[in-house]
Amino acid sequence: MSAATETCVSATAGVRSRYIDCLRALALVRVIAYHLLSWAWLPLLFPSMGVMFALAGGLVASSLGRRDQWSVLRSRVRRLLPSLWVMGLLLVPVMVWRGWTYDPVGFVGQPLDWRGLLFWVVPFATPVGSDWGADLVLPLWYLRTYLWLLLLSPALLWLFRRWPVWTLSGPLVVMLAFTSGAVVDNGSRSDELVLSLGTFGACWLLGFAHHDGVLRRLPLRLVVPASTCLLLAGLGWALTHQRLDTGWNVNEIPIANGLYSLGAVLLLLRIQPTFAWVARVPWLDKLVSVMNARALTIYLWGNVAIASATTLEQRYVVGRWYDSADESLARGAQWVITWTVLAFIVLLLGWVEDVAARRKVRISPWPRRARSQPVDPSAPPPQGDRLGSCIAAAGGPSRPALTAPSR
Amino acid sequence: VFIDPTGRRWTAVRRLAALLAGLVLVGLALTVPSTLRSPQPTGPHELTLSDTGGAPPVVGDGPLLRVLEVVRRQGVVRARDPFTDEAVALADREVRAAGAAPYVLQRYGYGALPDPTISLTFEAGPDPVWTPPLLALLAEHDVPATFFVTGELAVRRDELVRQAAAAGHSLGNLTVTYVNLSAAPAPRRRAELVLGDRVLRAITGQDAGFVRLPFTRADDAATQQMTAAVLAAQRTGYVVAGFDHDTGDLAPRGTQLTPPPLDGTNRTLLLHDGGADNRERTVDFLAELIPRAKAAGYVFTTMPEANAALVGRSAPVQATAWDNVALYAVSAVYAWAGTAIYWLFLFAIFAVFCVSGLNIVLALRRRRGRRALLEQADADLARHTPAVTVLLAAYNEEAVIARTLESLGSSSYPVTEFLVVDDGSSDQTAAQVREAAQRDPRVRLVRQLNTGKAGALNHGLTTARGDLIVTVDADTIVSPHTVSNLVRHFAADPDGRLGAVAGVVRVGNLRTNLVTRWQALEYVTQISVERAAQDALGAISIVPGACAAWRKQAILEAGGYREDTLAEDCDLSLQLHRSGWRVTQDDDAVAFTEAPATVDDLLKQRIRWTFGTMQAITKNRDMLLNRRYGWLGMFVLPWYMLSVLVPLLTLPLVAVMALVAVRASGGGVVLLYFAVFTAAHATTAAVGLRLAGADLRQMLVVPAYRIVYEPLRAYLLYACAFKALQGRRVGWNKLVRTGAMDDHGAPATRHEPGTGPARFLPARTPAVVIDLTPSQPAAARAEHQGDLAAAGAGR
Repeated sequence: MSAATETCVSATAGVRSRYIDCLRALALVRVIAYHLLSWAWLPLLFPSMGVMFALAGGLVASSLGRRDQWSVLRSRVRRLLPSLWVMGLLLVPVMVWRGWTYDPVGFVGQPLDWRGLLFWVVPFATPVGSDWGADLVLPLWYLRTYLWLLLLSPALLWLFRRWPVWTLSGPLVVMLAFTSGAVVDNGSRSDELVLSLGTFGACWLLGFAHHDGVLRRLPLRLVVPASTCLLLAGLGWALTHQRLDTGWNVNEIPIANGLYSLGAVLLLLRIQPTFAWVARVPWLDKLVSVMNARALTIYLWGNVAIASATTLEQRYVVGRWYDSADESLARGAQWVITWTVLAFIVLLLGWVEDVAARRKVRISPWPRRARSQPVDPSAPPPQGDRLGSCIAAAGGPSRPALTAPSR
Repeated sequence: VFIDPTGRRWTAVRRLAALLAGLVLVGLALTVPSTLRSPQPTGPHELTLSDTGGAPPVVGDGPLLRVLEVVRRQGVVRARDPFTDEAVALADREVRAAGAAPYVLQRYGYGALPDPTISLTFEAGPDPVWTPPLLALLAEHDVPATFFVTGELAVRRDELVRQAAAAGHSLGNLTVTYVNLSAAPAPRRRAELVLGDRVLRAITGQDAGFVRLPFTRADDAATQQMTAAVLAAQRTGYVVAGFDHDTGDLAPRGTQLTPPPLDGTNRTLLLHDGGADNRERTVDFLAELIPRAKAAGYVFTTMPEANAALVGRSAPVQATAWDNVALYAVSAVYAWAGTAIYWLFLFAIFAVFCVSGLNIVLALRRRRGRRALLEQADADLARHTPAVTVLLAAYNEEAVIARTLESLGSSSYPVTEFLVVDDGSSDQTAAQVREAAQRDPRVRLVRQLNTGKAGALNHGLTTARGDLIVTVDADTIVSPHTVSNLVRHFAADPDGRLGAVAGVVRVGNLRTNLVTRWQALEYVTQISVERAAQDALGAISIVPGACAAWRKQAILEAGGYREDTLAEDCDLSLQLHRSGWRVTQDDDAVAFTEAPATVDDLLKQRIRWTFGTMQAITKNRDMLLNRRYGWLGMFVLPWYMLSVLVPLLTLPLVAVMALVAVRASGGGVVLLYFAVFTAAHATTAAVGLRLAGADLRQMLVVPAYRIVYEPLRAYLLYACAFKALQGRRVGWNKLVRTGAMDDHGAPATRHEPGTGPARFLPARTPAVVIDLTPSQPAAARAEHQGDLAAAGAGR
């Protein structure tokens, strides 16, 4: 990468990153909403997973540009795993206690074996869950795919810079192989992995392109039609290849999901609005900071919060305050309870992310000092930690003043 | 060589490629639709899974399975085949089980038969070990059976398939690759069903109009999940033939097989004649069951004999052209590719084990008895010192030339002159050389307009005063004894026909990163094993220009350095052999070079080497398999060509087969191969390092070696072939010198008695490191302090 690009990125990183932070926060809200409501149009509105992979890819490229690859991989993996371990330490015993049954015919849950448990330690494949916990461990596939893309990143970045078009078409070829029937998904762990790499690998690579400034150099008159074509192709595929159980839901049809996400990510990362206005709405600004600082916790525990919210609602709210038939009220109550539960979980377990990132441990991630101005573009970009946070999240309340004075 | 400035060849190649692609496309367009059309009668209608609601209720009994539409009219419930409109009566029990569902999955089969029947059905075969004894057993009891065979195995073991068909057994379709059809997309379903049928038709001359769906199970839940596959089979005109009794013969040893109750009802049994190595269970089970069932009044039949719906589905047919196309296509993928891989594997085993074993033996043998020879050479050298010119061609080498001259200046040999030919450098190279000349009067500078390395060297030859020429690259550091170690061979040369002595080039900056470490290991292994072995055979194919001694007369006789290849040292070495000069190697004449530290630079350098070597060998192709050139012509050069051409043609196949193997049976097989080749390489590397007296810790790179090497080799092969076809000149791709060198104060070379300590860079010779890389800030480079010899001197 040229020195010029590096400067270009970092000079405006302060302002830009607000947009990125907002995308990440929005992605998390959408994930929770979708898991709660299962509305098929939510993934169309905002393809969260593609966006999260793209942002993560950009961060990894940025780290690789500044430090040597081994230390980048080490620190990234270090930031990823502790939150997973904590979740495993809490969830696995509960699942064992509930008897750990699974349904091999309906493919709900997996048998409990040492290999499956090993994936709770290092998620080279999705960690196993019982049928009782199947919904709770549902989000963990993202960690697996993230880990693989991360480990592949030094090679991918080199390939992408050398042969961008060929490399970008790699994931599409994988998808095509599965869709055309040249390869039939046999439901094995490796097929599941390869399919998810094919679906989201291209988004990750666009993250590279965004970091390198390649995307910004593409003219909008090219990007908008290309992105529209991809979005329409994804939607069209979903409409013509509906599933019996989920219909045209893009999220459940890999190739549709891959195309749609790619189109959305291409557009979102290309337009790059400044988003300085967020700083003028203090509560929103802080909320975005919190969600970014605790992104992994929110993502991992989202389904647990939803499940507990449903139980709490059934037990204490329904029938007392409103009739069980009132769907919209019930959903609204679930929504409120979910985020309340999630807030508690963030307070209880979110500090793990600080430990993993080697930041000063804080129970409440709420920024202490109000911020009235957007980050001065000429100031040095917030370094190290903000780029190193685990999933796709920038670390910490993102102002250096608020994080540990470790540098 | 390979260069075609007119571009005509490239145009021709492109036209040919386009023509071939066009022909292939037309061929596919002509054959694929017809081959994938089902040879069975198909109905006029279509029906999709979503029409059926996904999981229709399962009704009825019997080994066959179909989806039926339930028609309810005025209280009468009837059913019809949704594809053929054939009307089917439903039993009361079936009507009740159907409930209100619009579609049902109906088990059916058998017919009005005089005696109760048993149909034995086999899956997972044919197996070369177990199918013959089973066929013998069946023949002994005069019992016909039904074999469901995948196309994949049928093309590999077509003799057994034919044998079974000839013995009166019925052959059924088990798809081509035993894939879960419900999970496969529609085109794949059609291909699996139709090609499986056609392959059997082509092999046996019998129809195979019924199919056993892979992963069929007896229970209703699993059957419902097969709905999509059942629909696909019906749509393409096949009858789905399952079973109604699972003997459990594929379960592990120790479990009991389940014999069918002989209660007078018809039975279709699931058995296996392959798939696992415990098939003696199946044979024993049948040897016991058949007489008992016959005694109980049962008649053994094939499935088409027992089921009315299968009548004629196994009839003799004349294989059509499309059946044969299908047979060839499936054979190409599943039989011939496997055979090719088998031979390639043998070749690889031979290449790795025999050739590296041979190299090791030769290198070790050469080692013995060489000491006496060298001592004699040193003694001769002490009596008589021939005039030696050290020749350097320099183009923009200001960063390193002073250091190189300094290391040369401390040579123990009384060198006549150090001749630097400045090939029109645009930087301060000449000034650096003049400065060095002031310190050491033996340094002489010749400047010329830029003509390339070969031209510079030839120019140097014309003005060189010595009879012996030592060539050293401008970025290469030598030890004080390098020159004398090289020259001593000429002093001891009995017949005066020694043309060149190759030195040993090592990587000077191995501590920089994995890329340079990898190269360090490669250099050591290759030089101290491969080239030593070539030396033992008198067949050194490449004398490295970076560090070698030449007889001036030999170079001139060979016509000097040529510019027509990119590997002028390889070309010149071959020319020397051609004019009858001997070439040898001195293992103690060590020179350290700066290896490319990034993958991009490495690729550029290797493209130049590979391309150049291919050019040089092509240019001297008359030496190939020519007895006159001994081992060089009969073994070294042909082997090199083979090791380039075989992977060039087979690598895509190997890659695809490796992927297929990983998918089919996990990464174990590939890991095993990897381990085997790594072990072989580790042996060679250990011997090489031992012979070179190098640090054995370099062995740590061995596991990474193949991971780097295989993709690199693949890339180089195709990049070079592509460039050769294009006919464009490959650029000089000069490496930007960083001047990075490890501290070689530690003895890196062998201590040779009689030559004094072969210590490199003694303390009195400061290594001057000049860091000239503008792309990397000084601070970033300072992180690699350990890599910079006397980094302080650089700044």
